[in-house]
Amino acid sequence: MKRILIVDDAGTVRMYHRKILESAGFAVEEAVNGIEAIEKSLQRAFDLYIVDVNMPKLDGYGFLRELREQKLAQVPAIMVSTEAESADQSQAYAAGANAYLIKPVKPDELKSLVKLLIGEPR
Amino acid sequence: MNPMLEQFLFEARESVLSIGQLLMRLEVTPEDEEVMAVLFRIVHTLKGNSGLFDFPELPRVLHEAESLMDAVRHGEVAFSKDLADRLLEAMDFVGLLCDEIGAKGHLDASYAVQSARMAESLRSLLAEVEAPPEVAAAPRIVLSPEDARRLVAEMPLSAQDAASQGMRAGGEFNWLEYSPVDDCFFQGDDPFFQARGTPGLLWATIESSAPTLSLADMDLYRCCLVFRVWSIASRAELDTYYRFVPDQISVAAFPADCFAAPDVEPFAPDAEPVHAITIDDDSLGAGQGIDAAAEVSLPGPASGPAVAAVDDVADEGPASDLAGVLSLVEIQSAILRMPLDANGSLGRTAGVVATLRGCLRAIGFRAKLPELEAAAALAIREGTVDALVAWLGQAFLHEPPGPGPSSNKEHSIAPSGESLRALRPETAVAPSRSPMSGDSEMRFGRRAEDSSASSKTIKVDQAKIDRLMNLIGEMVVSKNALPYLAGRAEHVFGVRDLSREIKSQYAVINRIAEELQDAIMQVRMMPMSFVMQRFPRLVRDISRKLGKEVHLVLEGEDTEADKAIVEALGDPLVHIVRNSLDHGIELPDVRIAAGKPAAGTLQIRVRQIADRVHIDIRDDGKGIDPAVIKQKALEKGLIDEATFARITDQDALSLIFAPGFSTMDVVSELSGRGVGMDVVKTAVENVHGVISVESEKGKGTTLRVSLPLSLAVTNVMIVESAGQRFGVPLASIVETVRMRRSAIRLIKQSQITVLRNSIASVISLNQLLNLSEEQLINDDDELALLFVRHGDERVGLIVDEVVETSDIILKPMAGVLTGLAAYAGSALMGDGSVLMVLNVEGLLSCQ
Repeated sequence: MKRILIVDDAGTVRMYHRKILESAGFAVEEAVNGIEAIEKSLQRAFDLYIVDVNMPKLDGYGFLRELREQKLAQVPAIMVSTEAESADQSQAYAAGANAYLIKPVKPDELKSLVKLLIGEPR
Repeated sequence: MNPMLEQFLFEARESVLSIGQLLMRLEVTPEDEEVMAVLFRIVHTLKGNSGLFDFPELPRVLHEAESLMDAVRHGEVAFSKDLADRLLEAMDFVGLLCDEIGAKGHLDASYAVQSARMAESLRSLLAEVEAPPEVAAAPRIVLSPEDARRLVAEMPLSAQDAASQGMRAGGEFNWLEYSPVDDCFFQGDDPFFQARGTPGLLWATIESSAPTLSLADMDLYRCCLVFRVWSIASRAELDTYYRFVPDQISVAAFPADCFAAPDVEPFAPDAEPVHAITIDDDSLGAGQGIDAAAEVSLPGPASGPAVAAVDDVADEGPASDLAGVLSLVEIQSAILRMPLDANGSLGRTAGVVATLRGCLRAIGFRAKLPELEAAAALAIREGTVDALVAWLGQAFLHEPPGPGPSSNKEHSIAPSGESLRALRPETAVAPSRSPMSGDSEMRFGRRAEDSSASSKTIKVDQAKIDRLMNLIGEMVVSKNALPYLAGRAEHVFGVRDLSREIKSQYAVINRIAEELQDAIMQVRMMPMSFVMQRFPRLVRDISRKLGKEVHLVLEGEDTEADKAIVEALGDPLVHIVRNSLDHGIELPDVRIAAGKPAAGTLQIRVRQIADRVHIDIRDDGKGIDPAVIKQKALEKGLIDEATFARITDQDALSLIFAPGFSTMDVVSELSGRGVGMDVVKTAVENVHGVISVESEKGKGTTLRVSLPLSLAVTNVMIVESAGQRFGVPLASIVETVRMRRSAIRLIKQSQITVLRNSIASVISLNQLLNLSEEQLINDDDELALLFVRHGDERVGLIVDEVVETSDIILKPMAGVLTGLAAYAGSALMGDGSVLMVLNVEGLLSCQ
């Protein structure tokens, strides 16, 4: 089963994204900040990351940079943020995000984007 | 309740709490950028989360709070105590809303107004520094007679009719302009629905508030509409209906003479109510909407493709996939064009490749995969993205290879529509599954499907822990059957060896049971900071309100105690703190006059001593004057003249805990509310705690609270009297003594004795319990006495025999028996018998 890591410090958002993704049939794991996300990534491989911007310890940009610095870390990443500014989006892409969604994301939007990126859950 | 909402409320309360703490830290160190950053992040997150739910009040306030903090963070607004006050107030309001949502599951309409006011109050702080932001949209506008006539004329005649009749009948006729905010779709608003549902709707139009852009620049998710509504509903009704967006509407009443235009008058004859036409607002609104949409898409050459693209998106299936893929591909192409940095670019490229791969598969276009892989391999090998960009250009966007558009803004989506349409027939031919060779080896980290990542904390329902706790409690009790069994084996059956074996086995079980009990206790333990963390805020607010300066010192917040005890302590402690601030600590000038520093000190110290938690709340205020207390108590009839004469100062101080006692003549706003220290005392005693007061006039007051760490297992001393067994909580026992009968003297009606050089009164348990038997005397003419704590005194209880101590699970008295103050409850003993446990305080008070 395809496995997605949700990186977000807000439990509500994690739960929200988890519900959407699990209802689409994906396996979901959670990390509360960039550091934990890296630790989890070292333990097992994920097929997709959904990353929040603002987080304590290591924020979303930092995590993505860290992820992409693993040279061959080619796992797609979606950044989610409350900011709709294009400057924020560019910064996300520069850091290594492959797509950008504005919070609160719409369930269908997230589902279809995830399916575009990594296909069906199985 | 919906678990997600529950989670949100839980997090929101936590966030509100930490925002409060951080704000107070900022008051001390306003320059601390780190604190500011954390503060901003929490507010931001909270705002974001609140947007997930349908409570517009929350994000409205939080949004303003966030903007304000952002301004402070960037130095545009100076941080001040007033600003902190305002923000704290806003956070309190958010907390209140959360409580309300938690309790009722919804918010009353009244909160909408409050939240708008709160948001306005926050915005005003910002506005003070900002250039006056576009004349703070005056919600009530006045129509000039010309405008009014022109607006009326815009309506169809039937609607004009209805309006004029309504007005003649004394009704209102309002014109309303509703301009939803740009990102209203993301706030869960449905402006079209909102406008169509306007009460009293007669007519409405929709206009675009922004110039029409080419499709490439158009943001489909941005609302740029203005709704103009003609309504015969009253101003109040409209305000109520639009209460969630009060800042987005402006309302104007039509003047009475707006129908005066001669070309309207003839169509509205006075006495013809039959003429009234009901407006089908459904067709009205919808028709107008379509008109408006058509209007929007009319001008400019881009309109053709725009409509086509919208059609595509609206279609289910591969078409919408195509649209999604297109935008994704475009983003990836933009990412590739971004300036390279030394480290991340390879990974970034890999990420893009993975994304493109996903896109190709998603639209069933696997035939192109090998090309992608080749381009990717080349890009990674050579460290440039040119090959990939070129491939992207010709595969997806049908661009000639070579320099593509340099910025993603100019990069138009329009031509790609063509190319994808060209692709579509191919997708129908199902391509063979291409082997994804390099896939797994290019993963980040290693595959470890079976090593499940474990989390270090789990959330457990408290009911489950309570159940476990109860079961362990039962086990602790049933293990007590073993010594009893050992006793029987020895005395009844005369098998001493078996008795010894049982005893040694008991020791093992006992040890495990104790550890088990200890372990479950640890689970239930909670740091005292749970109740203490609210004190900084409380002290700050109260002292500001009272005009006092108070320095709060907290010690030992990480001391742990059982959840039930920590929770039960919250309110009494708050009350004590309030009292100290209100009655204890003096105003700065009074303090200076008394030779003390202007700022008072309030110290809250928590320590664990043995199996009890001790909390001292000490202030360096004016102290309590025993003489004043005595006088008050006498006036209030709490003590009689005789007591007044001989009562010690310490005893007088304890009178503050008496029901109905309050030294303040005027009930103060803070400590008043009809709650006295007696309530505090009762609350503390409910969790088997003891409270006492010490005070030195002019120097300060200390309240000492002592509590057991846990309530679950009570240690009792089992005594025998009149052939029955009773339990006495060990916590209330000072010592057990055997005394000659002659050592007990009768003075007047009461018996007393001298124990370690101090006098203590003595009373027999049988007498207290109204049992007629005399207490037994042993062969040496001695009585068994149990000295217990009663308030600050020691009282000797005469019993027949002191048997042993035992751990029991105390079950409080139920039903009609709850009225029996003499008993704390009952417990089931190991041998199946029931032990009545005495409530010493209650027993001695009712003598």
